Amino acid sequence: MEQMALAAPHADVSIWGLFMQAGWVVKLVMIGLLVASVWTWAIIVDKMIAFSRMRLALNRFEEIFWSGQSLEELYKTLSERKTTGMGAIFVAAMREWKKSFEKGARSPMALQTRIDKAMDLALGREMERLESRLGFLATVGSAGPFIGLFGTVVGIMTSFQAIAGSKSTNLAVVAPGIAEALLATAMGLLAAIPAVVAYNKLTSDAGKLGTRMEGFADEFSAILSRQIDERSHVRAQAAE
Amino acid sequence: MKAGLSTSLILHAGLLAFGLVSLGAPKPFEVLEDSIPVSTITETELAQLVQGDKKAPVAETPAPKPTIRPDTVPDAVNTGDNSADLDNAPTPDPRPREIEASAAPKAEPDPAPVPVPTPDPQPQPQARPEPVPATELASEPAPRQEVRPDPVKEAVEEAPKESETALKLPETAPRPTPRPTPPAQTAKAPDRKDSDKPAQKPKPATQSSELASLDDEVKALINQEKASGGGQKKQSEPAAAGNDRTNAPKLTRAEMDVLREQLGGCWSIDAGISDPDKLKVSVKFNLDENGRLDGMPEILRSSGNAQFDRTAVRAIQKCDMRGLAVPPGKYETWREVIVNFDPADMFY
Repeated sequence: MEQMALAAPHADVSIWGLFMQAGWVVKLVMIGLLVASVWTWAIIVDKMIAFSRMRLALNRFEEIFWSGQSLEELYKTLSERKTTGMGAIFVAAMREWKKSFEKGARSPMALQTRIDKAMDLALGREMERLESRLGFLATVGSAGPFIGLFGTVVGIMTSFQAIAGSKSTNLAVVAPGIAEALLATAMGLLAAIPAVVAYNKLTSDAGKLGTRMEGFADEFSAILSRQIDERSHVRAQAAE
Repeated sequence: MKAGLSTSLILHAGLLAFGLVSLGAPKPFEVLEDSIPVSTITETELAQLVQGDKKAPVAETPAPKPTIRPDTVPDAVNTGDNSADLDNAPTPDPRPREIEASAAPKAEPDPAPVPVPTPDPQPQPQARPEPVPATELASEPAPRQEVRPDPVKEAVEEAPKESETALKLPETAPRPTPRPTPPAQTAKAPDRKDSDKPAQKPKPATQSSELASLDDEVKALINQEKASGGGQKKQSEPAAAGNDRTNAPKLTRAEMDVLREQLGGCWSIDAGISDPDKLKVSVKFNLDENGRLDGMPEILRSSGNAQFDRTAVRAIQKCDMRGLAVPPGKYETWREVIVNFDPADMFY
């Protein structure tokens, strides 16, 4: 392939021409980088949408939660549909609470820890969902340039081999092979730069959402703990 | 996830389409091709191009190189491309001729110092290397000296006496006795003959001793031996225009820069000179083959300020003290250097 390209000084130097002239290793690298770029952007778009939705959901839930609505009613409405974020934490905590009281819990301290555990679990699940696939962005961001560079090195290597074969050092002979090889690095950078930028933004966004949810979990835990205290006090008084 | 993937695919497809259309083959650079006619020549052709007479008119075709094999010219004395033969010593002749000529004078100086007052008329002993007593051999010069003046009458009177003495002498030595007899006989004959004989014989001997060197020279002149090849070979065509010393006639720009930088480094303008920027001096100097300064630098075009001119001369001398680095093998080009000292140009 290169031999032909080098033999003809006025080779096709358009991007498609360069791609078609490249060797199979370089082609493979370029295709791989293109796929990685497509997947990177798919993740970016998906995460952007998911995060904005999550933010909206958190806002709405907080609004409802602090509106003074009864927790029982809220639980009834939320437990019937699929919930995300704070809703999921709330539902998990309330479910544990309900189960404990329906069965008649003996120790208020044990109940408190059980509710905390349930909320932690729900929070972890939510965080995992938020941060899923962000690792791919990190990988593309760090490995993309190297993969592109690998393609370039292989391309230049084969191109130099071809030059040695053609016994001509004319720049017109040398240039297409090098341009074609450099295309691989260009593609690697094209995939890596958005990946790195998006990874940094999305991780910080996920971190913000996570702290918000953690804050809510702590707050709700405090509310429930107060409730447990009140109920156990009422029960103790009733016992007397 | 589907939304993200489809969005991404659409985005990439759009980007690729845009890239393939707008980032297609970039316009090739418009290179103004200034064609320089280049012809490859061999080393010998290069030598022919630049080696020749400096003053020769520039001809269309370079003079062909002279043939390498020298023709043998019978009358030639020396070799080379000279127009006329030069007086060079001939090649030494291995034949014994010279030895014969030089033998006669050699024998004489030995007996000469022995002073024998008695004149011996005997002509016999000339080339005898016998271990006979020196007195006999010594007799040779004696008659010559006497004969020179050639008083014939005296000789006539003395002749009988000499013959007597000659007869007596042999008695001491056994060998020579038979020899003297024939002279004794001749002694009887008219004395003139006897006196004439030694007179004639010694003469060429003495001359040869005196003119031995002359004889050699004459021999050399009439030497008919074959010369040692070559000689009197002239070239019909004139030498091509070129340089008589080298075949690399130009300094490269880099080499000139090196020279200029060196001189610039040695040059310092006195603080007292007013407006040095407007002064300019052109100095010529010669270098020998080792790159050392040959003679004093000569000011070709003075700046009008003698002090300023001196700074230029001093710069050259200072650089010479440090050792001026000149491109090797291009002596012809830097044998004579003309440098324009211009402050605006020298200091960057």
